[in-house]
Amino acid sequence: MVHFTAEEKAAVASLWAKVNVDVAGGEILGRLLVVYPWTQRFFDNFGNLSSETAIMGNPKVKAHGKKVLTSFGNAVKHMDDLKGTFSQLSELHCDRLHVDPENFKLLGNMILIVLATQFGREFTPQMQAAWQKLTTAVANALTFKYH
Amino acid sequence: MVHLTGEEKTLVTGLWGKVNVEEVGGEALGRLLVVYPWTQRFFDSFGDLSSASAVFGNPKVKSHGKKVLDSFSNGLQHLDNLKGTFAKLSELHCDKLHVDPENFKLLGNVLVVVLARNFGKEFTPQVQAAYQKVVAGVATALAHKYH
Repeated sequence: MVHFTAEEKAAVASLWAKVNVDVAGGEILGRLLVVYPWTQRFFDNFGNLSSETAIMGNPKVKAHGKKVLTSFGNAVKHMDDLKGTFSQLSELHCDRLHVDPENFKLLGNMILIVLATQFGREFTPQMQAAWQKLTTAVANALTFKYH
Repeated sequence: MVHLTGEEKTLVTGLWGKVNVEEVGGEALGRLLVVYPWTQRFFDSFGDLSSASAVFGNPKVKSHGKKVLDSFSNGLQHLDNLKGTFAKLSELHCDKLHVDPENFKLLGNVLVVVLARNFGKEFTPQVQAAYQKVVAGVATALAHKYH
């Protein structure tokens, strides 16, 4: 189980409070689809994903990005039990969505990059370290029920 | 070999022209050591790396960071032949430094985060995608001579 220090939890929570989940969610998912184009295969029914402009402006990308990031917000509230928190989503991603768990790490990287672009100076090395730990732990939790 | 379109090359060199290589080098290496602490094992002779402040104040980290990024800069001028450009460094990292090539990907990710942080909105999804391609290409080139 991943152990977060009190400092790490405080750092994560303080930045999370300032995140606009609506906007950031779409940005994060959009960047995943642009930077790692093979991930588009999971979103066949999203319509036009043919260019960066199309992807970043796509309303389904924004809506789904918001859904994913809201779920991630759950992780911030349950940093001591990520496996339990993501257990059902893990089963879903394995059994029904058939998503290679490597992609969870890629999405985690996108979260960090979007936070870095939005928070600049505030995204200190310690902040980055705490968030890296969290996204890695969430990726592991989402992989946990894979078989 | 990494294939960047003409547009991607323009985006990469356009942004790189504004990068303070000395500063970004130290920042990237420092963040690597803080976010992925096991990487400190490669820098035993660097002195105090015991905290984020120590790492970021450490003059050896800054100067080595600059050296690493100067080398990366060189790579940017030879995007069509990264394997050739990094052949000797690849041998060095394998035969003398014994660095797990996984760490090259980590450094690449950290560099992308530092660029994101420094350039904010200007670090658009397309710019990110181009840089992600470049760092992956450099990581592959550095691993190429491993045996």
